[in-house]
Amino acid sequence: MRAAILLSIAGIVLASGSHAGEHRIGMAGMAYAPATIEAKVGDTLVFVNDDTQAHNVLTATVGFSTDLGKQDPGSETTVTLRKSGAFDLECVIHEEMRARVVVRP
Amino acid sequence: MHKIVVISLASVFAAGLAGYTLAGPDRVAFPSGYTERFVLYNTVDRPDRKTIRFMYVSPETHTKAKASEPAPDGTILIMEDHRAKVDASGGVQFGSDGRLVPTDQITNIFVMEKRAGWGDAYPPAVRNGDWDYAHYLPDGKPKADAKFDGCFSCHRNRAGRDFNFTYTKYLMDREGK
Repeated sequence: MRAAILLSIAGIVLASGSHAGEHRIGMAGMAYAPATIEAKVGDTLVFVNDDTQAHNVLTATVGFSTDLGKQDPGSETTVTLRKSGAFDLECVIHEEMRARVVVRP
Repeated sequence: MHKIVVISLASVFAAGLAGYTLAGPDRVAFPSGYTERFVLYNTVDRPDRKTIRFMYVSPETHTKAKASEPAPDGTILIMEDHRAKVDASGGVQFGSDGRLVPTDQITNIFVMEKRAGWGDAYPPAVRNGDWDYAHYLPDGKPKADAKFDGCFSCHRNRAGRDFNFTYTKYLMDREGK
């Protein structure tokens, strides 16, 4: 089952699907791919759990800190970037899963 | 031989139980006045739960803390959950900074505290260094039916960062590491 969860991360609101840029981030093999994302304000991040186990997306960077909660295999979480800056992503469950997002104005 | 096996199993079982029954207010006291005394070092939006988590650290240890070292003995970390402001349809609202808007309604207060030797009481598969946990309600009373297995198992995922998700990260960013 493929569920789309619309959430918010550090200035991100419910996505309408018509934003300038969409960045899809996979989780297969317990790794975010790509691990570095360059985006602009208004772009969306789509976290796709294409792995066989549950993952999570957490950013603990001050000013952007958000926990998107557990994401089961086959599900997607879409967020819209509303604020420029840089923040790190990590999986709460798997310490080695890391990524970095840079958001330009 | 049979007796030895029985005793060994009983010891393992007792150790497992002790791992979780030690956690709670008997060890980790409610840090009265923390909102005035402690340092608010981060807030974490939790949109799926319509919650904002206020993260506090004890000031006495915070001044000595370094990203490259385990948190000092006596460190207390608090996660105070606030309900997020919602609109008429129940959707979360966002502030001008793009963040969830916290209300004054506190739902839970989770405390983790580190004291030398506390971890010795836990089996290796459970132990979180020398950290222990407690769960309080907004009035400062312990949550009667609190369970701590989730605290221990989840925080073990950050064994390489002194068993916490946000504080060491805060120190790393502060020090540019």
